[in-house]
Amino acid sequence: MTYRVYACGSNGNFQLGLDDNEDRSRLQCAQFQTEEGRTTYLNVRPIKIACGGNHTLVLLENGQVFGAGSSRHGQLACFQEYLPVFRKLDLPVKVKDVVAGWNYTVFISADDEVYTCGQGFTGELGLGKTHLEALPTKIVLPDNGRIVKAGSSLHNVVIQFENGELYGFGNNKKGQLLDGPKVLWIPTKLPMHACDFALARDFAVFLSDGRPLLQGKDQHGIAERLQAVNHVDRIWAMWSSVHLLSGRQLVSYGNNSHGQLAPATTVDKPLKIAIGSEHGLLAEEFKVFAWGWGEHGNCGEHQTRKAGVTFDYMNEIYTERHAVADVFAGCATSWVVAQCSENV
Amino acid sequence: MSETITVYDQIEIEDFVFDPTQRIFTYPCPCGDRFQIGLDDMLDGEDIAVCPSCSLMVKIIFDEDDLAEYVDS
Repeated sequence: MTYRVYACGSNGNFQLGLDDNEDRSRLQCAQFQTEEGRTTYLNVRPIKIACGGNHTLVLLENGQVFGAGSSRHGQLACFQEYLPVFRKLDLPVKVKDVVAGWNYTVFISADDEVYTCGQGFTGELGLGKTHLEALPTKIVLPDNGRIVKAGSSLHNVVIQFENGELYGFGNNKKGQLLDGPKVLWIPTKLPMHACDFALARDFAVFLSDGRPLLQGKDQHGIAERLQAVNHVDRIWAMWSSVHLLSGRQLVSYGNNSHGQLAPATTVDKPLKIAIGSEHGLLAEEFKVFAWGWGEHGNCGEHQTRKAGVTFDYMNEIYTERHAVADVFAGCATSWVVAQCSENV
Repeated sequence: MSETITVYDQIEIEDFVFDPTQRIFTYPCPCGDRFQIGLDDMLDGEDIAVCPSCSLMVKIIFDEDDLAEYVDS
């Protein structure tokens, strides 16, 4: 089995890994520099794609991480203006999860250690006030057992342990992580337990006993709408909206300036959902749809008579014959991992 | 300032980063670039920060008194 990674959207810093910095409105195959040379086929399954402001990380099932885009601040584990195609990152550990924010990256090792790199002026690296820029450095966390989830927004991070404890660091200016200081410079235990959470730009939503609770700045009246929600299976956040899978319904609350709230959708079969900065993706086995703000080509090209940067409908963007293994979304970037039956 | 402008969101001045050399405030845009607004424009009453790479705009929330510390810096 081989895999390909298709990308479209914002590409000003080579973050699509296409060896140039032109935006794309049609999905194109990302390029990987491997020991055998440059290729668009991977023999190991990509299990996660994490996107920062201008950098992208592809985590493979074998624990290796590839990166493309800006590494000006060390966010791809090296100091280089940019990596034009995906290149294997030099990391001290085998990685099981990766998340990214504006100019930084967080790696969770297979042994449940956490390493951060890049730049963070408001605690995003979790390394204290004196480390505003770093190559991969281990942060101090309690020995709480397995890490089951890591989440990030553009400027803060939450780590969830198997015992339900949450540790957060980074920007807390709106009290989105806890009622306390405006910056959490080092990992800090959050007061609540949650089974899931989602971090938006200025607020966070924590899922406790199936009920969503908003903390932070609530400019779009989301908290009140969430009170009426009594069952949530999964939860995601764009920068200024929250998206819930409740039974078979995908429901959105928040900023709808550019069609960010998902068009009424009933989910008939298991599918994949990815939420970017201000757009979303929904995938079936052979189809991918995009909605929201699509100014950089990240929602494809309009296939109806509509025009402009708002996609307030589900726009189909994937035309390949390979089955869709997964979808991911970043800062105006869209990603499709496809499973190819044949080797090339 | 035209009333017909659609701002994508509102952001407090405390969230912007101030560059004292260029005298501009910047804040991340969801496209990967940064919204910008000049201190001098704000002193003139401007409150819309624009992104050089896309059409999105944000309204910067501030009081005139907030600007004093930046003028002096």
